[in-house]
Amino acid sequence: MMPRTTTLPARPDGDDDAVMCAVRDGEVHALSTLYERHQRALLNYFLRLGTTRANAEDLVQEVFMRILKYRATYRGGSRFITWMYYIARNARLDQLHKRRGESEWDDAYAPAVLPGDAAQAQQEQRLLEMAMARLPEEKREILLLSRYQEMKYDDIATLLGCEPGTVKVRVHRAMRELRDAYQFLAHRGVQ
Amino acid sequence: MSNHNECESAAALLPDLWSGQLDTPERSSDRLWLLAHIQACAECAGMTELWRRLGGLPLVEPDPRQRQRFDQMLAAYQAGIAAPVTAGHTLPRTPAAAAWKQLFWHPLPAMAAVLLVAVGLGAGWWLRGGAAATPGGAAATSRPADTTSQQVAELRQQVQATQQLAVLSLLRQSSPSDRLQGVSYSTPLVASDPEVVDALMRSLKYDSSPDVRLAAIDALTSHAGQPDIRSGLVQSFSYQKSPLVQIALVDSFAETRDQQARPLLQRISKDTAFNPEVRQRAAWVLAQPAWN
Repeated sequence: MMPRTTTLPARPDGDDDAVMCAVRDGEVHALSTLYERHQRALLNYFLRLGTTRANAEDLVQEVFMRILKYRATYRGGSRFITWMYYIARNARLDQLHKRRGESEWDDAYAPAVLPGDAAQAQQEQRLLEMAMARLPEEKREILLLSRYQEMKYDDIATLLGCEPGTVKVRVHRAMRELRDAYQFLAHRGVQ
Repeated sequence: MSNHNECESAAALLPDLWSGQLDTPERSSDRLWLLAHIQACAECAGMTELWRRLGGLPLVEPDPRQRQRFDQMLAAYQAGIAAPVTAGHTLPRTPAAAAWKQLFWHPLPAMAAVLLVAVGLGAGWWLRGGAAATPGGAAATSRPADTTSQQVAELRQQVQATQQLAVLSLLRQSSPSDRLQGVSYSTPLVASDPEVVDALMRSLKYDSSPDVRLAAIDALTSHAGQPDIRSGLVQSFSYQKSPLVQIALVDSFAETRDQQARPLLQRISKDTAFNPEVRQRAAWVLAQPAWN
């Protein structure tokens, strides 16, 4: 199936926090708003970390289930997205633990066959996806968080328990390795 | 052509450029310098171009059926909140339970005291062992290395006992978030501490908060290799009125592939007294190849 290209919409930070506070205080139906806003980003986060489509869908559901379950522990005034990805990372680790030995990776991003320039663009996209997949997981994750998940370096630092300066260094190293992997694949030629 | 030192300076600024943090008047000179460097440096230009292209990679769209699944989960949760709590809603009151409650009703001072006592005992005991080993007496010098490992093992036991006190105390607090915290702290103890398992089973059966019961299911399911825990999970089903908790238990049976649960699942799947989502879930689990 051909995925559609989209960019994630920007949104004021406090908005999610206010909705989550309402969920915490008993308006659980408001979780639908957060689900609508974040399900796609979460799904793609799990997929790009190498989770199969079926498992990634389960994980998205699990994240929102856990948000409900632990809603009482949410502290208003904090960044919802950081809290959500904290839950997401734990959910994924738990799933990996449970499914040890099972093979992962499917081709959720497999491109369709297209003619001409479109095919060239698709080939470049595929190269980039493959270069991403070659990165060690921690480098791939830091690029996913900083490039796709609307997270600032400060948020990522909170999530990973390090300094913002360390996050920047890691982002730069990950990009350098991505560039090397991309160039390697481009020179080798990818079928 | 750029030199190596320039690239090092650029490395510190590139992540800020990529994330838009250089787009402010205060940092315009950094931005101008970096853009000029990128013009001259193929490596930094290559990374910046890749960053741009990363943003254009296609995103996979969620399957609309996932939204239905979420809505069902949310509906079950809301039904669970609205459902009346079980008859034995409050924890059974035994003299020991009452004593616990009195001891730990004010959690922070009590827990701090417990921790201080444990740390003090541990440190004192450790120092006493160390003092005996230092003066160079024959008995001290001949003390084998396994004494140290014994000390470490005993200290570890003390720490575990302290953790157990904290968990049992938190599980008896009036605030659901404290009790949730108790469940969360219990995870490393479940494998080896029957008292903690008992406390979690009580929470699963009697806690007024569906959230706490759900968390207890998670904590217990992760150790469902133990036969007592598996049978406890099956027995706890009859205490549940919340469809969400019922579904979570059904999922737990599916995950542990517990054949003891089969008759229960068969009954649930046919009994119209249960919420339709719970019945569907039970039927779905029974239809899985692992059960046949």
